[in-house]
Amino acid sequence: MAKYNPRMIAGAVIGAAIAAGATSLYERYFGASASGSGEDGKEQCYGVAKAGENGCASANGSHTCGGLAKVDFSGQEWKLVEAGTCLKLGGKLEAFDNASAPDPAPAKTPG
Amino acid sequence: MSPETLPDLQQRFRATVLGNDDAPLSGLVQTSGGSLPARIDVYRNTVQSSLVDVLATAFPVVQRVVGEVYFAGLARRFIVGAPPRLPQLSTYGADFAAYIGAGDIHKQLPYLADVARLEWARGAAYFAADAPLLDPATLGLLAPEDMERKVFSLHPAARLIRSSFPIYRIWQVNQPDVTDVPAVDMSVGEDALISRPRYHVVTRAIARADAAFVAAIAAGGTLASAAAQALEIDETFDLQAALTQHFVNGTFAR
Repeated sequence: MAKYNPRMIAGAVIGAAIAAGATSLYERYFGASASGSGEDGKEQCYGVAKAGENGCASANGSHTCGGLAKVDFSGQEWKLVEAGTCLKLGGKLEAFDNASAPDPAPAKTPG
Repeated sequence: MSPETLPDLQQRFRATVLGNDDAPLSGLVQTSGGSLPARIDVYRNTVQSSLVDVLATAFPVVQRVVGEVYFAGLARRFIVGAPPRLPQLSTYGADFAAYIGAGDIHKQLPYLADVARLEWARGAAYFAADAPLLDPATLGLLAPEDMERKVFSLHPAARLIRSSFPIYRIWQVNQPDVTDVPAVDMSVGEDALISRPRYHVVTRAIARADAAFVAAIAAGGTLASAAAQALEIDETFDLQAALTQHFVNGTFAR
C-alpha cells in the first residue's frame, strides 16, 4: 500500500496552503510574494440588520443562528452586504454597543 | 365533551388542524355557517399548506423530482405524522429524509432519500453556528514532524453526505436554471461535501478517497492516518490537491 511519509505530508500541507492563497507562506518558503486570491465582494456589516434578518451568530454570543435578532438595527448584529455599501447603509464594520441609543436612524436608501 | 380549560381547547384545536380527524372539536364549533368539516378544513388547510411550503423551501430538488402535486401529498402525510416540535421553522424537516427512505416512494426512487439528506445538510450548513475558518497560513508555523500528527476539526457548517447514488449530479441537474435535464448514470455513487466559507453554502462532489479522508478527520484522526485511509481507497489520492480545495471551501475550523 502506498503511504505518505512525514515529509510528503508536510509538503502537501504547505503546497495546499500556498495554493489556497496563504501568500505569507509563499514568502516564507520561497522568499518572494505571490498574488493572493481576491475577496468575494462582501463584508460583514453591523447595525443594519432588521430583526429576523441578521446573518448567523452575533458578536456578543446572544444567539447562534440566522434570523434570531430580536431588535431592529442592533449594533451586535451583522448581515452580509455588497462590499463598500455597509457605511452607506448606516452600519459599521465592527460590532458596536447602541443599547443606550435605541434609534440609530439608518439611512433608508444607500448613497 | 366540553373542554375543561383553555389549554385543553388549544390542544384539541392543535390535534385537529395538524391531524385529519375532526373529533376533538366535535360539538365545539358553530355549524350554522357551514358543516363542521368544511369550517375546520379552512384552518387545517392553512396550517398544513404553510408547513408544506416550509418543506418545499428546504427540499426544492425533492419537490422537482417528484412534482408539486405528489410532493404536497407526501409532505402532508409527513406533517400529520411528525408535526413541528420547535417554534423555529428552519428546524422543521430534519426527519423528512428518513421518512422518504422508509416510505413507498423509496422503492420507485431509491436515491430520493439521499437527495433529501443532501438538501437538509445544505440548510443545516446555512443555519450552523459561526466559527472562524482554519487559516492555512498558520500551518506554516508547524514543524514538519508535527504536521502528520496534526488533527483538524471540521467547521460546524461542514457536512459529508455519502451515497451509493450520484446525488451531487442529481442535485445539480435539478437546479431551477437547468431546463434540459440530461440522462444521469445511476450506477455511480457520489459523496457530497457541504461547507460555508465566508457565509455562503457551497455544495461539491468529492472523490471517494477524499470522502474517506474527511470522514477520518471528522472522527478525530490525524492528518497522517486520514491520508492513509484515503490511500487505501485510491492509491493515487492527491493530498495536496484535496487539502487545497478544503482550505478554499472552508471544510476546517481554526
